[in-house]
Parts: sequence; C-alpha cells; structure tokens
Amino acid sequence: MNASKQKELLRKSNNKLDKQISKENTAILTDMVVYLRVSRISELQMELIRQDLLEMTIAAQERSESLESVIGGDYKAFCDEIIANAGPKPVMESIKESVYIIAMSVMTLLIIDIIFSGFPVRFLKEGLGGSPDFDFNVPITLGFVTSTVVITLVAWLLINWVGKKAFALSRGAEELRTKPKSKTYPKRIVWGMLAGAALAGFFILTVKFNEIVLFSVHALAVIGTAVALYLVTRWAK
Amino acid sequence: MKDVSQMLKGTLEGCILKVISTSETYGYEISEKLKANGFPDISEGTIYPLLLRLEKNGCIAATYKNSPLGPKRKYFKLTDAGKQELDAFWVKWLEIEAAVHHLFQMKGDDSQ
Repeated sequence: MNASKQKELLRKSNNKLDKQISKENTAILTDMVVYLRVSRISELQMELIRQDLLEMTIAAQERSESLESVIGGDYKAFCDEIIANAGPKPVMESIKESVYIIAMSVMTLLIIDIIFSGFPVRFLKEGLGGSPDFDFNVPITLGFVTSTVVITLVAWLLINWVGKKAFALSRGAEELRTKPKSKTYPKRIVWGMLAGAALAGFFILTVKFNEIVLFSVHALAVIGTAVALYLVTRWAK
Repeated sequence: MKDVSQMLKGTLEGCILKVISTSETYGYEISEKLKANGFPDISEGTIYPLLLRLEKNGCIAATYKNSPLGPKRKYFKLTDAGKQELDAFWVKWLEIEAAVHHLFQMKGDDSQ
C-alpha cells in the first residue's frame, strides 16, 4: 500500500474514532491536531500520531481520567515535544504541498476570473452561432495576477497563523465568552474595522488593476491551463 | 532540587527500553510500570514523545493489536538496535552512578 492510500485510510478511521471523544476532550484534541498539522511532521506521520492521541484519549475516558492527567496541563509543550521527536517531513512532500496549494489556488481563481470576465455569456450569445468575427481571446489582467498572488499568500499565512496560535486563540475565545462585553468590544471593533479597511482596499485595487490588460490568450489555452493545473493537483495530492 | 524532570530526561529513555525489554507492552502500561518502580509524575504524555523518538531511531518497533476496549492499541517491542542501546545505557548509568556515589561519599568534603 502506498503512503497516500495509507494516509487516506488512516484519516477515515481517525474520523470515526473522533466520534467517541467527549466534547471537552474534542476541544483540546482539535487544538493539538491543528497545531501539529502546520508543523514539519509529514502528513502520514501526522495521521499516525493523531491515531495515537485518539487511542490515548479514548482509553483515558474509559478509565474516567481527564486528558490533563494523561498529557499534563501544557498541551503546547507536549506537542512541541512530539514535533521535536517525530521524523521531519520529506523534502518531496514539502514541495508537493506547495505545488498543490499554488496549483489549486491558480486553477480556482482562473475559473472564477473567466466566469466573471463575461466570456461564457458572450460565447453563448455570439460564439455558438459560428460567427467568423467572434473573438476567442480572453484578457489576462494585472488585477487577476495580483489578486491570485495576494489571495494565495494570505490564505497560506492565515492557515499557518491559526495553526501556530491554536492554543492562544482558544484561550482568547474563552476569554471573549467570559469577559464582560464592554471590555472586549472596543478591541473587537478596532480589529473589525482594520480587517474591513484591508478588504475594501484590496477590492478597490483589484478593480483598478482589472483595467490593465497584460496580455490576451485564446479561451482554449485558458481551459487547457485549468485542466493542466487540475492534473498537477491530482499528482501533488 | 524541586524539579526532577530535567534529571529524569536523560535516563527515562533507557528506563523505557528496560520496561519494553521485559515484555511487549503499550504506552499506558509503560507509564504505570515506571510509576510502580518509583518514578514520580510519569504520565503517558511524558513518555509518548520519547517512544516516538525511540521508534524513529529504530530502537523499538510498533505493532497495532486489538484492545478489549476501544481502538487498536500500539504495542512496542525491542529491536536489536534497542537491545544494544539498552546495554550501552546500563554501562553508562553504572559509571555515572559510581561517580556520583564516589563524590558524595568523599570524606572531609563539605559538598554534601
């Protein structure tokens, strides 16, 4: 059995085991798994470790012991010990992961760009009739290029940040629930406004950059690129 | 010394190997055996990262077996490399033990 198949089977059996975990322990295990997932551990070993942690937790539940008594109170330190002692991710797996993220992102955004460029509607209205004057060229704009780079980068950074800060974010969320709203609202409003301003700025710039056409390509070349990118994601998965 | 975890760090691996050498066993049982032998505050979580390292270094091999309750349990047994590591640990430990003993029993020394 190859590593990819083994990983998928493990993931499925782990998802089944997940259902036996109590609500309280699920919250702790989720933080640990999210934290470990963004570390240098390979995906296959990650699923093996997840299986061990699930087995440890279920056994503790059966003995009516808390997860804290089994692992100790410092879950982050426990995960850091695991990361330090587990085998590192093979270089090829790291390359494939990056290739998968980039190919998937470019493919998705390329399809969205084509749909919103109006080409499909134009093709249905004019192109299907077999008009010799129909322009099959699709413009590739600066807006598409910059938004693809920004969205891919932000998504990747966000996933890593959430993973690395999994324990702190859970503590923060707990504080938000327990602290009086008057104390947490000002901070939340400021962060909300900053996020809103960043999003608005991004959309305004993208719309402006969409007016700048870098080059035009035949629609079939775009479809071919999307298919090629899909095949790349299948290889990298 | 209030915190013995630093002292234990270096010796725990050898002790885990010793427990596994007596019979094929799993994480929780190893921690219980260590506790029964007087090791303080040893939980399954304390030894799990060390088991990962020993497995990575080829000192122990793991197999999954059905458990009477819940999911499959991971059992460990010593490999040939593990046996060599255990022997080396024991030799080093005797040397350290003798040295510490010698130091603390030196007459006329006020280091005690």
